[in-house]
Amino acid sequence: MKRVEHTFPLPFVTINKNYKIQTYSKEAISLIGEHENLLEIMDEASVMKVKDWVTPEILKASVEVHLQAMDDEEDLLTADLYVKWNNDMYAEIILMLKDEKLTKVTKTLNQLRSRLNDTNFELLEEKEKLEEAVEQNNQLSAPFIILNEETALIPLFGDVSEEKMYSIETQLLQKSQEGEVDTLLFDFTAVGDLQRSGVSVLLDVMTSLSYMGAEITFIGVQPAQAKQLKEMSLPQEIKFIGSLKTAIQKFC
Amino acid sequence: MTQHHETLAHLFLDGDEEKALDYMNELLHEYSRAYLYESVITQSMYYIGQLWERNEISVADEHLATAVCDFVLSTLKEEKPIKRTRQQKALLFGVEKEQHYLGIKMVAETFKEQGWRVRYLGPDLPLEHSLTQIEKFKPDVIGLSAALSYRLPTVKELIRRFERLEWKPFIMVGGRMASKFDLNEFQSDRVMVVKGLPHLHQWFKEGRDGVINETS
Repeated sequence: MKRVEHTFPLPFVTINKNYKIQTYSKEAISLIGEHENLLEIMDEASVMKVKDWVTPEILKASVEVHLQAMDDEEDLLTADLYVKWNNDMYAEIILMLKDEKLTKVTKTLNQLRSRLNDTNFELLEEKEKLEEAVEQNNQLSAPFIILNEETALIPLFGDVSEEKMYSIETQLLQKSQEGEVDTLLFDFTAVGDLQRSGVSVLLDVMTSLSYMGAEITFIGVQPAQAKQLKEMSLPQEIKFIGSLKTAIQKFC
Repeated sequence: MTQHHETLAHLFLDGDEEKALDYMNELLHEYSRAYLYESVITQSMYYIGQLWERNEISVADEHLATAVCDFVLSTLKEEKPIKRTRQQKALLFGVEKEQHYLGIKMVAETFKEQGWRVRYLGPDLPLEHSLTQIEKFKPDVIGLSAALSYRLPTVKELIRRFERLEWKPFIMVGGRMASKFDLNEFQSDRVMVVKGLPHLHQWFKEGRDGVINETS
């Protein structure tokens, strides 16, 4: 391997077909350091690419590769190799580092992406807190109030949504099994909107409850809600009473 | 089979995020999300890597494709997570200096779909930073990802540090490195090498020999 002085002011090497470096310019040394073989300075993912493209079968080639950083702290260097084979044995190669603009754009992109991720992260924390609050709220919107040994009152609060019905399902089934209670009064007085998907879950819960032997009565269903309920097919077992007062008089 | 991944790769390379998103949403009607992640998105990015090896595209093209792919992953319609009574927590990140992150991002989405609470901290995360977050969040699973073999010493060090955590989180090592090299020496009862998304799905379904999933 010998140093050549009279060449372009560029990182320049000549290699043989085994990629052994034959000559190099001063600029090449400062870019890649002293190495016996061209493949040694390539990033692991670029070695195959060099083997495929820097070969005597391709007389002239320009190939983009990644060079291993000389210093451990640095990122990989992207460079273009301009290759010209003089004959089957030797090739001249100029190594041109990529324009700094590319590196700058890459770095900016990375920074923007991590900024975006940071912001999302804070939002996520808030979102999770909110979800927890909603879940807690949902669970509190169907309190199980025991009136006497056989009867319990469950006033429902707010809109009947699918999500809410799922979150009250478990505790309803559990509580009605725990006690001796077999009459369940669901009070609709404080219910807002009946969402179709929510009602369908609610009816599933009713069916489960009646399988467990409970008698179910809906109380205080408002006219608009009655219309909506009519459109769904209610289980036969469900009874209806107009007001809480009548219901309490009947069951207590 | 139609080459969905190649079509998608070219949309990524064209920088056409709207079309790429439409295309993915359309495929979602037909295929599962898991299939799209593994067999379309991952394959499209591998295909882009091959195009670079074939000297057909430049690094700048790859960066653009990565950014568009990232956008599509973030914007893709969310799937309703499975309801869990006790929410498990996973913290995921790419190791220091690792710039490849699309894989671990899909892993984060997969955990979310399974009803986990997820902290995805992105790529190139220094050790100390990850430890601070881990101490704060106390995850049941720590997932770390690396693509290139240069990261092996870092991965080793991370595992050593995470194994010392008192609540004994389960550690997952993944990324292209895990499917390319033999990392068996890392495996233990608390460390698992995950060789791609199907492997992760299998873990969700069956646990690891049916034991780890229950305790983690």
